[in-house]
Amino acid sequence: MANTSELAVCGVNDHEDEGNEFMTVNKVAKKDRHKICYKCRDINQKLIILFRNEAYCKTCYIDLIRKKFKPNLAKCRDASRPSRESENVVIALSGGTSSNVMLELIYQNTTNAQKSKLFFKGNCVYIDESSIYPNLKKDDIEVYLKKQCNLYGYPLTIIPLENIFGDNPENREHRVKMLKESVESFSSQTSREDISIFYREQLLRKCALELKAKRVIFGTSSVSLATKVFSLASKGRGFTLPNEVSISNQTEVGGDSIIFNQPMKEFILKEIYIYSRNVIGDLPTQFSSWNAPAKQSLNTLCEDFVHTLQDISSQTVYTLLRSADKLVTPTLDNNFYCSLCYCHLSTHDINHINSIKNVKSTNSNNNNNNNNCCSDNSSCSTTSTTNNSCCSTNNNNNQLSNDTLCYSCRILVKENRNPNLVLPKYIYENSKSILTTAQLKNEIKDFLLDDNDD
Amino acid sequence: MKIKVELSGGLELLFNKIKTHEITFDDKKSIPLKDLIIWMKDNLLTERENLFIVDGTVRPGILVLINEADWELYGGIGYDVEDGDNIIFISTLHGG
Ligand SMILES: [Zn+2]
Ligand SMILES: [Zn+2]
Repeated sequence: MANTSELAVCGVNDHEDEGNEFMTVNKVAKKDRHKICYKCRDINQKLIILFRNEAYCKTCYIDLIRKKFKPNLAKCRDASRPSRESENVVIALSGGTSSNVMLELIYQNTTNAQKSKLFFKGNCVYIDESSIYPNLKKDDIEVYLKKQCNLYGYPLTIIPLENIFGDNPENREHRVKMLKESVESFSSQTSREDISIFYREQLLRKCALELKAKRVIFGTSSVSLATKVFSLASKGRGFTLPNEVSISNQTEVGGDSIIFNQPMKEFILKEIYIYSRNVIGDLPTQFSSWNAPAKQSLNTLCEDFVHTLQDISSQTVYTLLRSADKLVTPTLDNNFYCSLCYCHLSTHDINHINSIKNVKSTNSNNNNNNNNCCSDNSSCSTTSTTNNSCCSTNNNNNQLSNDTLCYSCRILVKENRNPNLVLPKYIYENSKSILTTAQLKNEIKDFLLDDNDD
Repeated sequence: MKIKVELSGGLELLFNKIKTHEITFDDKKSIPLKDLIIWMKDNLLTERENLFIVDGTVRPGILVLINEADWELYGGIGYDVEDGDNIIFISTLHGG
């Protein structure tokens, strides 16, 4: 029955396993005789997964995942670049299984590829959120990530989330305090989670610019993306939904474009975890206590819902994402993005900004009536003279126009309970730059030839 | 019969932070997986059972492996656990 040469090829990896592996092989073959590996058809190979209704052995499964990942990774390259020229990219690691598997898959399709390898220059970045999630096992995660990055030969940069308020080493504690205040002043857990996601994404954008990379690659799985479909829609972020769940989402940052890529989009968590267990091994547990009560936030509720749907029918997640792929965000004017979350503004929002005659009279959200950014004056005064300061003493720079926020971020900011809320500098800068651009456009508009004047 | 139960992905936090449990049933030759998880809930679980069991089966989002293989190859919750089996429960929740 089984071809001996095939057996030798497929069985190579199994010889490296411990002795008891053979016992299990026999046992499974006996129990599940009617199912053999879809690919190699070798009756002696132990099956490890039912992948979209087909059973696979370990060797064939590993091969399958690597091959399935490759075309998606190829989409994360600038198509105009010569194929053998390495593109500088940021690989965003979260410490979770999905991004770790992605890292291994990138390595397999680049550095370790035998033939037709893809050329990337990877820079791993981990945003440490332990200052707002105290149960995060920061040390375990960092030790593990350093080990993995070293193994695959990628440099690793660790950035604490509080650096959203600057990176002066002298005022770290002050920044932690500001970050905590800024996150905790939102009344709902959903908003707290969302704002920390926006801060994380902004740090990754900034880091990409510093590393001269044009893209950030995320390990977001199909389950996480399906969760996004529901959570974005429920939070009034439907406008940006098609961009956020696509494999490639481009945003402009002060004239530089940064692309967010999600090449793990094809895989469900079962596939990722079984690959991880067979190739990488177990990861350290990220949290020291159970992180999310089921009804903690809209995001976790949606995640629970997607898992339940997936349990009822394994096709649900694919169907959902295929439907989402058919949606298109109507306008893409790169000059107009939300100052806080970077999503594109709707036509209605853009028209509104363009109708503003004088920037200074806009509906501003400047809560900061005193010139000091924070209640703790002493710690800030030492830093406010440097460029790295967390906040500006110049009142004009702390103006956030609600007109430069998307619908959902306007609601988010309104929800904040702190009348002296200070947001990270980038938000004020974005807001100012959007209004200035709009005003300049308005000013030169009269000098431009109208199409009807011909 | 003697079996091994493994918990990971943070699920061990609900089981007194212990990842591996060896379980012996002197009076049995096999046990339905459905009964094993109830036994685990009654004897091993230390907090919030609704994070482990929902409607008599493993909560959605928890991946179950039977001797390192996907439980769907064995009919999922309908599987009969035998002597020497290694049952692995992995939480895939919040695993970005
Ligand atoms: Zn095979
Ligand atoms: Zn926004």
